[in-house]
Amino acid sequence: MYTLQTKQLSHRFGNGQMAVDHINLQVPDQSIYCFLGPNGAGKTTTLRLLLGLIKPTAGTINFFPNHPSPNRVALMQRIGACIEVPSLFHHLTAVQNVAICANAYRTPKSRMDEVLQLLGLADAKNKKVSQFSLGMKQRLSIAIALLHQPELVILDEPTNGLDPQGIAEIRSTIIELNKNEKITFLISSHLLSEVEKLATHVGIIHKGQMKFQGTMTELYQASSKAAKLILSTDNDEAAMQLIATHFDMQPIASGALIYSSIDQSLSLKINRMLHDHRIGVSQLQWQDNDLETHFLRLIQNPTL
Amino acid sequence: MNTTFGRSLQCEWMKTRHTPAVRIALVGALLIPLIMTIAQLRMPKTMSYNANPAEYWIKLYIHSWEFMAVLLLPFGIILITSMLVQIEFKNNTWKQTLITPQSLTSIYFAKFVIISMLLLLFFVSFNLFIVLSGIIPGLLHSDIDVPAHWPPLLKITKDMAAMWLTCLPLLGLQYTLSLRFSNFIVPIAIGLACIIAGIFALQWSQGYLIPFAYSSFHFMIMSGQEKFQFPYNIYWLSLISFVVFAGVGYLSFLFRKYKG
Repeated sequence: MYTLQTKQLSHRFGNGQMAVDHINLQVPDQSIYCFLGPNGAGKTTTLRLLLGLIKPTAGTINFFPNHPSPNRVALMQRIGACIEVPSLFHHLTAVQNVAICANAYRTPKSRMDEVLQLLGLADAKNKKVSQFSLGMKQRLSIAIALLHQPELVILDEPTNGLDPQGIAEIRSTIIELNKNEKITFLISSHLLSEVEKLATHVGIIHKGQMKFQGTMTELYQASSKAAKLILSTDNDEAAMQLIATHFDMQPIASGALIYSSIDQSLSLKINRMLHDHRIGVSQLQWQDNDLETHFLRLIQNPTL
Repeated sequence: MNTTFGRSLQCEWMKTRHTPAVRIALVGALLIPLIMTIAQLRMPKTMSYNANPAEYWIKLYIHSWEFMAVLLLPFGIILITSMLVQIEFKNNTWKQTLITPQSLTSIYFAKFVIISMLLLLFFVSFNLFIVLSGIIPGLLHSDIDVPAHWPPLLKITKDMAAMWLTCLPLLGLQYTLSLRFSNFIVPIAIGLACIIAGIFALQWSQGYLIPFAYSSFHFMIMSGQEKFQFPYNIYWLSLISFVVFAGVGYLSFLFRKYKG
């Protein structure tokens, strides 16, 4: 079951540039879906399209397909969001900012203290936002997004401006809310390390196009599929022939013993075979089977 | 009252009440009555109640409005309207406002009602300060008469209601421009050009074609300085111009391609 689905969602800017290109987003219920992509990939534009801040050129957006809301006002009561830089009134205090949204969402006052406490802002609640650091503003924005206990929370780069401790705290808050309160999160990020620690599902976007969508396990599998095995021997030509004969594999780069493979046990088998044929192995290693390399490869060459 | 609209009004008031806009409205309302008070204390014989008790309040009233109607009031409208809409642009909060469970119609009209209420606050305060400027000098200076009767409140109320009505075209246009342009300078510059056009219209027999001159024309009518007989009633024209300006602003807000 999905909390959010888009079909062929597209947006073209006034200058003709395709910012979002036929995206079929599928955010499962109670997932932490991370929307990953380099700067300018179309992440924020997609989130703005979802929230109705921009009109799509084509395609449809379907929130809560099993229990749809009758209108936009009712729908927005079920969604919390924080898009781009924190949207806060700098001339007001933290608690006054929260109060404005509490009024719009019809949230009880007790909940205001709860979210401020949750995001570690209880002591700074009477401080003006203009005196806040970027990290504190980010926390306050997240507090506002969580204020009305929404079913879906959309966060755009939520850890921007936070120190490492703050990043870890926000991450554990998100995971806790996802597990305990069954809140679905759609989070955009360009920080792969964060996504690895947080996401249950991931969508990779580049130049407005979805390059990958699936669970983290599927992403890891796809990543290892494209891994490279690098060999150095005292007789490369003979080794190449043996590998071609026994494993039916050809090197991916001419003149070097570099192979593409999914089978992580291959290194052991090749090593044993070369040893049996008295070929000395000076180097045998897997390379590029980490998520970062796979991510970079996906956005550079999506066919891999 | 529609509950969504009621909540939108509360939200807008919460954003506004801690801004300088409320203080500007009050200080703007105080400025001329304060000058009038000081002028009377320095030159006690200029405004004598006993010389013409029947005309005292009307004279004081017209003297005070003379400076206000043509320049200060339109400028105040431009400043306050632009400032209140600019809060959202300056803080980058349009997107946050637009993703809360409020309809675009509620947001648009709630903001407008708050600005109109500030204008009303200004009118009420200004008239109150005029009354005080007519009483306080007599209490402070023995050579100045203390008025023996209250000002004609019914006439003042009617005149003020008409003045408020004639301010609506400028308010409507300024609100539309302030929502349209994120750059603070653009609506202010256009608003100032409108004020200048309004001043020129005062000398023109077809001046009724310039909606920004209606408050000045109303002042001329209430002070008995009416120069031209226009073929149309300026109060109806004020209402029509306001509906057109605010209507264009509303549609532009509703159908804007990029919101927030």
